[in-house]
Amino acid sequence: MTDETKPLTEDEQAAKDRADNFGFYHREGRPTGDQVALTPEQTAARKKRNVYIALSLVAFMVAVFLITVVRLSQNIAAG
Amino acid sequence: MDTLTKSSVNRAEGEAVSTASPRDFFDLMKPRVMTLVVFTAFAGLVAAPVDADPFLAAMSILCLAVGAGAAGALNMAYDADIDATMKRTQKRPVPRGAVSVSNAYGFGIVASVLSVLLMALASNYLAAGLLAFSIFFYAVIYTMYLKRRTPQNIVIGGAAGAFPPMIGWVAATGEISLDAVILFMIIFLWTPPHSWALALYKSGDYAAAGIPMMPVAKGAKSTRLQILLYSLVLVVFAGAPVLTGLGGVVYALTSLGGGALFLLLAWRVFNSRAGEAGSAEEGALYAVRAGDKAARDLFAFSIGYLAALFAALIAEHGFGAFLAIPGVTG
Repeated sequence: MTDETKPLTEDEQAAKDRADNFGFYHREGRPTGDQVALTPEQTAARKKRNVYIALSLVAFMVAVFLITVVRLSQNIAAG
Repeated sequence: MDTLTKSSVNRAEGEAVSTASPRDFFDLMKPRVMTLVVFTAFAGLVAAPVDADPFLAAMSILCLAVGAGAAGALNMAYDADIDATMKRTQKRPVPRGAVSVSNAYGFGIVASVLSVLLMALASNYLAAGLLAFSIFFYAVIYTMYLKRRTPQNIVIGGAAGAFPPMIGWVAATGEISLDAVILFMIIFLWTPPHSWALALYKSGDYAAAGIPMMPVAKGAKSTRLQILLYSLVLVVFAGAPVLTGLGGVVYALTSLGGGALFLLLAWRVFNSRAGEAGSAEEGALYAVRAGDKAARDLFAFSIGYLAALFAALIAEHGFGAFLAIPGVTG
């Protein structure tokens, strides 16, 4: 039996799963424990960016809605 | 949860976790350039012979602004290496490390797609197509190809900045007319003397970055001559809206007075030794050595000149100041 076909040990399989699944156990969906703590500054910056992304998405949705309403009104008025 | 997995950090090309603020991303969009884009696009929209719905017109202008900003972000992402070497640009968000290159690309691409989609909804497919093409032209043709290869970079690349009034016009009318092309050509012809005036007194910066701007590639004397020639063509061409009836008395007077002053300043640049002293020591946009003052003056005035031309069109078509010139039929 060559190395390529040799069954993986439990630890090797777990390591492979982590590598294949961006650091998460495949089945359990829980983190491996390899984590980086963010500084308060990084956390605050991330939160602020997330708020602005959310606001931008809401603004985009509102814009699409209002444009559609105006367009529909124009088309209805035009017969 | 204030943690990230190590693997996800590694996937981000080993970059440090970002502390970029929304303001940094706004700066990526080149707000000063965006202002001129919005202004000229508004002029094109107002000057068009159609009464556009105010809300849809405002949305079209917003799309243009975001599209222009997206192109600026893509430009900053690609040019991060040379921006870091130039005094004028080294404080931009990417070279100073506030925003990563990949984030700048991502931001630019998402903003490009959203602005073009919204433009298609708010106006028409032709305007959206022109907006998409202008973003592509600036980010790919100019930034990635022309800028580092030829001294004609801003001559050809200037087309990207010339699109906004045409897009504004097309957003209102749905078609490209002669007047829309004239507005495009005015900015297209304005770009070389404007950009080369700046390049004359920042040539050391461009040379250090390896960008073949005209003063670096062909020398200051040749650049001063070309500035004068382009200025002549520009000032003559800026009279075209009067002939088609797009511009009235206010525009004609603005074009005449502004054009005369533009030519005077271009003549002063031609007779000066601008560009021969190397780059200014200071990083400020208007900081110059004594010999470069003529170039600095032309650069500053050129912005006012273009703004005045388009302001005259806005005043005439948006605020009822239009007085037809006798003998001219639009």
